[in-house]
Amino acid sequence: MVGLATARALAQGRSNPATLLLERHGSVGTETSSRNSEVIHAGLYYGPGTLKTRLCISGKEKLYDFCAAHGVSHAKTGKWIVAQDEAEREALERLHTVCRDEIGVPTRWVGAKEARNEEPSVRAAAGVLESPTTGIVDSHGLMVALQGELEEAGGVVAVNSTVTAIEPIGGASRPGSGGWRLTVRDSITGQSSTIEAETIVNSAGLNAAEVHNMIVPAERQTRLYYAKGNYLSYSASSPKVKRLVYPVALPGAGGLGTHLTLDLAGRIRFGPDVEWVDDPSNLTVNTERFSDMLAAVRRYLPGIEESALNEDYAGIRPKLGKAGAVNAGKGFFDFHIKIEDGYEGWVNRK
Amino acid sequence: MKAGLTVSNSHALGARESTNSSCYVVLGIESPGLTSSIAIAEYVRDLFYRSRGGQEI
Repeated sequence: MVGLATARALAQGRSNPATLLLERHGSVGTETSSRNSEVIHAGLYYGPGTLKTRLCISGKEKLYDFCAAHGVSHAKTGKWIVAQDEAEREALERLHTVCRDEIGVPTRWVGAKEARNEEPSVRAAAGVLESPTTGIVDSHGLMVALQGELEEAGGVVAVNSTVTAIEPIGGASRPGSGGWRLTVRDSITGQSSTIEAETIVNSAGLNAAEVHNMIVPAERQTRLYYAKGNYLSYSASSPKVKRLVYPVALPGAGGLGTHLTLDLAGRIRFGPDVEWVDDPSNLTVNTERFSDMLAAVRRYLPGIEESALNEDYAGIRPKLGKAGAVNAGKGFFDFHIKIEDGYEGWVNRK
Repeated sequence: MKAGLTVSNSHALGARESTNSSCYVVLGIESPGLTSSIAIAEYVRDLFYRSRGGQEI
């Protein structure tokens, strides 16, 4: 999704630059972009002064505007974060304070009576904090719209094109100053070809580290960690829920907790959980995790029918670090979007 | 960083940093890539713009 949006933005530049999007699969957006919750996030969780907060808040508004202007299905459903005990209530109060005083993201307390009237099936023993600007989007429709505009601007999407080598052109003191030479393998024929470009953008998702490592010396090599998320669908007609429902994340948890999201037809699904894996290509839903996911969901939706839960899909989220490292206070992993030090004409997005 | 909040890693709320009980640690996994996609794209375009001495792409 991000690579597609970036290619579109560059192709639409005033100088009408030739823009080529290299996609290793047979169509765009088949990995992370199409295997997520399709949630438009409000920007609650990333703290003041971070690129994630800044770009999520502005991106949210741009995305709503883009969807409205281009007929991409979406809905500003709002989201409830529900607390079940005093510790979770305190966490919500801190979140509310940060949103109100430091990052300017709207949140609102929902009273007990209103909560019962609005969502009688949802258990929130210690309080509900609402995020009214959270929503959902048809991610496939969004990609179709972005790709259409990219191609309308003269950009080209080359599918089945795997980058196997990247070489900066120019002297050793200014690598990339003369452009970049990429070796690309056609995944259908196996044939390789060479492309030269003035600038390159690494927005390779699950493969971003591999692309990065094609360019930098050994001491600057990096790696990604892969967080698999399993999703469950729900086929029963009750309980009914009108908005997204998230638990308060527990101490030490790697994620936001197995939450309830809706698709644009109003169907409920649950997920993702967090399962650290070494193989980013294994997209089989891990059924061994169902009981833990069910227990997490029952805390806020006790009337759920277990027999109506079915495996839905799984996605892999590439991460710069694991939660374990985070718990040790090793640092926040903000978006990494920069012109890479020591190079010209290379924007790296990991 | 304002008192009471330490951004220690992306996202989910829920833990206090063991070395400082007044700090709030932001943990988690969810990244707002989809939500931020158009804003990121414009950010990248601006990076190129600045790197070219203000010459429009």
